Parts: sequence; structure tokens; C-alpha cells
Amino acid sequence: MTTSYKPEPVAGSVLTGKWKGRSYRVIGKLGEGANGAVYLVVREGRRYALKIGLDPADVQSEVNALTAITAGEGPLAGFLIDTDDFIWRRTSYSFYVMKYVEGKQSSQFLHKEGPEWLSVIGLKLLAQLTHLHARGWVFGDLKTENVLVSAFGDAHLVDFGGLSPIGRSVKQFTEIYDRSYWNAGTRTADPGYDLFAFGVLCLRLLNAGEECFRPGLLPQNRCPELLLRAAETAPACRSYLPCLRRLLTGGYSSSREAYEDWKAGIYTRYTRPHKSGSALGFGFKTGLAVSAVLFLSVVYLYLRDLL
Amino acid sequence: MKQIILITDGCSNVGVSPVVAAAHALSEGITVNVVGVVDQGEIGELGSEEIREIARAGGGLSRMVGAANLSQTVQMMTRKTVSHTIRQVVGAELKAIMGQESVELTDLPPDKRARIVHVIDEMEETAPLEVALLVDASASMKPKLAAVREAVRDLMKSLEARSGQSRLAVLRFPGTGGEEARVEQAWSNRLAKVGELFYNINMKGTTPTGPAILRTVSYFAGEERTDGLSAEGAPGSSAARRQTKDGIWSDYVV
Repeated sequence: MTTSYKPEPVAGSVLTGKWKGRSYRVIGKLGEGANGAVYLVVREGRRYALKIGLDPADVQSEVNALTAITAGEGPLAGFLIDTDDFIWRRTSYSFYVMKYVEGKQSSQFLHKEGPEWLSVIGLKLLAQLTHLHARGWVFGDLKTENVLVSAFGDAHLVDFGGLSPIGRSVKQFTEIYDRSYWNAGTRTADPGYDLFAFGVLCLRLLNAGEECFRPGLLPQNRCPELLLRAAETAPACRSYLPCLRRLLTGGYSSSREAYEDWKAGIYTRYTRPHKSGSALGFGFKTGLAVSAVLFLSVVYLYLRDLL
Repeated sequence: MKQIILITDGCSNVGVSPVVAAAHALSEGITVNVVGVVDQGEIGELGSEEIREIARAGGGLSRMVGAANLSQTVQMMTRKTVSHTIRQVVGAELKAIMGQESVELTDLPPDKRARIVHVIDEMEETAPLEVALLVDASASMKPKLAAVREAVRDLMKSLEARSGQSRLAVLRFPGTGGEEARVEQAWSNRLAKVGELFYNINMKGTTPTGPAILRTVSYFAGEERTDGLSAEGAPGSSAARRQTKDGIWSDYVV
């Protein structure tokens, strides 16, 4: 059931697809996961990311999902470039080629550029999730490692091994992002599953609730309220609290709704300060009420004089 | 699809060899996976060798993990075994259709492969699945039982999310009254209180892994009793008892 050795192409080696004959020159390894490794490659002067899988059925399953979400118009159009097999030591290995996303892992990006970038990154991610959900798919394994951020907060989802059709079981997940781990719902793929993981992702990116994510937290203590309490006590989370609350408790009926709410949050967040903003609102409304009462009493007095 | 996941931390010391029992299970169409939990103390060379052999005879996987990784491992094993079973079935069909000795997916052109893998994924999600967790409840397992309860709970959540009919049973060995195995949680597609599992651990318990595997096989066949299961009549059990007296198994008391 397991492969005893795996292909390890070194920099400079060339992989040639046996069906379509396209060649890719390896520049280096980008990352490695449980079921394969991703390499940076070049073909005709252009750079791509190429994933080699250990199990051809797993690769094909991912390719099928990617084909479904990238077909036609949309933000992912043209993402999947090629799929083929290459032969290494007389064994065929499947691979697929994707657009190369140059960027930092999301937590590193935020650490370097500052937490206020979360508002931009979050919006981009919610837009991508909205697109996936509209196509009938759930991302599944949303976590900081699977989000790459390029310049100016341009965030991209990478590693599509968790893509699951809505209504089916989630194919791949990571415990601390898993809705079911937190006793906050099922492990069935629905938009709320991704939105919950997105909520946890925000906490991770803002370094909130570290104590909740340590192994050994008792199962009976795992609940979304614990995460929310952690968010409430972390100053960095304050302006995101209304969104986080709904993300972690299934408070959105769709990712579109979460997207709109997040977007609306950005403007209230940055266009007026939190406390004086509400004080101003209160003063304005009170003033309006007082002037209305005054106006009515003037009208009353005037009418009484007339009669 | 039928699977046994055996969770243990040491060598069997009573009864028929667990490797023989696992081979028997496989012949009945039941895959046997084994997880060795190795938190406190050593599992020993013999223990780990036995764990590998049981899985090999039972057509399944074996892993040695710490208690903290138990849930993930059980989860992964279940999924991999489902995939493996389905892929074997599909592979056999393909061989028959194409009239070749062996057919690898990579022998098929990409468009055909896409359609076949779509069918495989569909079957993995929807085929009926029965998983029996067979848990070593001898004294040395006591500190690890919290992790086992958690793994049971976690696996049930994943099974609940499948589209296909799925059910889970939990058996322990030895039983409270000295029986070789006991049903802790009968076949169910929904979990009752996990906290009540493995309530009463027998401190002087032996480790009758082989007989317990055989009892689990017959439980699959429809012995729905939820009380203790004894291994009387199980093949090889009387011979095995004699072996205990001869000291072949009794050296490895856990």
C-alpha cells in the first residue's frame, strides 16, 4: 500500500510528460506534503509549480477537483496548466502543473508587514471561498500554511488536496481548524465548514488564543466559546470581533454574506475610531431628537396662538 | 467494507496467535489494521514485530504512535483502507475488462483515468462501511484510554460525515469477567456516551489478542449480543492454552 521510495528530482533535472511530451526543468522544491511534493519548474522561460504525487489516484482526484473549480470564467481560470505522468526508475508517477504563486506564507507575511493587512487578505480569501462554494466545492484544509500572500496582501489559496464536493465528507483537514474538533458542527463539506476554519485562521494570523491550540486540550473543553473568549481578550482581534463571532458560530448563511460583512467591517473599522465613533452617533441622534421636539413645540405654540 | 482497527501496547500472551487470527479475518473479507500506542515505556522489539505481522496477515496497515496522535492515525488508517479496498476492486474490474495481467492507473490515458477516479471517489464516499475498534484494555493501557475514547469519538464524527452507510462498534479485550473480548459499544451509526467506555479495567488482565480478533470476526458475522464474548469453540484456543502452560506465550506478560 505504500511506496518504499519516491522520486526526488534535483535542480536541473528535466521531467517529460509521457502522454503530451512537454518538458519541465526543475529549479527547486517548494514544499512537501503527506501525498507528494511541489517543485518550482521552468518551461519555455515561464515558471510554474509542479506537484508530483505518490499515488496516481490521489493526483487524479485532485486534478478532477481542480478541473471543476478552474473551468470557464472566474478567479481561478487558467490555474491548472497541465497534467501528465513521467517515468522515474521504470515507474510512472503522476504530476500536474499549476500557475506559480510567488509569495510568503500568510503568517510570515503578517508577522513582517503588520496585522492590519488581515483586512485585505481576509477579503481576498473570502472572495475565493465564495467562488469555490458557488461552484459546489469546499476548500477543506484552510490553514495559514495553505495561504500564500504576494505583494500588497494579494492572498491565494494553495494546496487543493482538501477540495470536497458540498454535501460529502471533508477530504483533508487539520485538527485545530476543524469545526468538528471544536464541537461546533459536523465534518460534512458545507460553506460553513470553510468559514469556521477561516475564523480560526484569523485567530492564528493575529496570534490570538495560543493556549487554545496546544495539544492536550481536553475534548470536553473544546468549544467555539473558548475561541471567542480568546478573541475577546486579544486587543488585535477587537475590530474583527463581530465577524469572528459569526464565523465561529455558524452565523453566516453563505460565504457571500461573510464577504459582504467583512467588507462593510473594513470601512467602519478604518473610517472612524471605535469609541468616539459610537459617542458621535449617540450625540447626533440625541441632537436630532431634541431639535425635533423643539420644532414640534414651536409648531404647537404657534398653532395655539393662531386659535 | 469491513475493517478491524486493533489498538494495543504490547504482546499477546494468551490463546491463538493473533497473526493467525488476522489471516483468518482477512479470509472473511475483513481488513485488520493495528496501532501500537507507545507513550509510557517501551513496546519492545517483540511487540512491534507482532504488530507489523498482524497487519501484514490482515492485509492492513500498522503504525506506532504516541497517545497524542492516536485520533489522527485511526482516522488516516480507516480512510486509507477504504481507498485501498475500493481501488483493489476497481483494479480487478479493469483487469477483467482490458484482459491484461496488471493494469496501473498510469497505463490509462488522462481522460479515461479522470472518469475512473471519479467513480473510485464516488465509491469511497458512498460504499457501506463497518469499522470495529478492538481495544487492548489490559492494565498497561489504562493511562492511554482517554486518548482511545477521543479516537473513538473522532472516528465516529468522520463516519457520520460520509454519505454511505457507516457503523462503528467498540470491543475490548479481555472482558471484565475474564472473557476474551467484550462489546463496549454495539454497532451504531451514532455515538452514545464515550465517557462510559472502558469503565472497568481488569488490573490482572491477560492480553488475549488472537482470540479477541476471532471474536470480533464472529461479531461481524452477526453475534449481536452485547454481553461478554467468550472464545470457546474458537479455532486453536485450546491448543493455545496448552502453549501458555508450555511457556511459549507466557514470557511476554504485559
